Amino acid sequence: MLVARFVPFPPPPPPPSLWQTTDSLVLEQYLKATVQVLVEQVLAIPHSLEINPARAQKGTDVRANADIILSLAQVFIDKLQTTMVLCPLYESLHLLLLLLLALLACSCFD
Amino acid sequence: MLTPPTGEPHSELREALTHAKVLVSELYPQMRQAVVGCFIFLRFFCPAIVSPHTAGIIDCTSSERASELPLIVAANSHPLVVLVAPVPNQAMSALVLLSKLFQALASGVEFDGTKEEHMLRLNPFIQKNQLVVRIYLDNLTVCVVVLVEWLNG
Repeated sequence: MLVARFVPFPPPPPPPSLWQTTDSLVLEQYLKATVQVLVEQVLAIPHSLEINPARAQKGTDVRANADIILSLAQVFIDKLQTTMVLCPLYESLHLLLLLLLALLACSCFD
Repeated sequence: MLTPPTGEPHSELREALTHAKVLVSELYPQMRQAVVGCFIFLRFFCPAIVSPHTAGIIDCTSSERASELPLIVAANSHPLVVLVAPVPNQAMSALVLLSKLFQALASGVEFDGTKEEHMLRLNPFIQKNQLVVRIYLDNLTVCVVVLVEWLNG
């Protein structure tokens, strides 16, 4: 005797993430290293920003707080620079060192 | 053993961005810089800036900030269901503004003032930092780290 039995559908697979193939922990660390300071500074000064809650005049917040916004943006750009500033130097020096070692090894074998 | 410095973006990220840059530059050579900038800022930095709690940047369960957070009632929900907004409204407005500014900076396009005249005053910042961002984006698409890792075995 056949008994109809309700079989629930399996849950749909999660949508593919853009960063799924990469090491998420390393990416998360890099994201924190660059963004965290900016977010913390924004959260530290919310009361000094004169945001118009009614939004009666669009752009009131930008006009009133352009200097604060720009200084906050500069914080992020500076952080972005400091995370990268050593990398070209680091990479160039190590690549040069490796090439020198390879040349030295070749000359020794000759 | 050679190891990349702390805070260095992962080599796979570099590979993906370099790949995108190469593919786009074949069809649209003038867009090869913008594609990397739009990709990394639009999909990586700006979502974390606008929504720091979902990216794990801030801890929204902290009891210290609980009293400062505004209460919002979710649409179509029971009147007694009240959500706690993880970021105060004023800070959220600043974060959204900053992400708009960074996206303009990454794409290398200044605000023209046709839609948002008030954003024109942010253009000097874009002009000033254009070179910095260009150098950063060039660095991101250099796959020397991959070579170093390969040589390390």
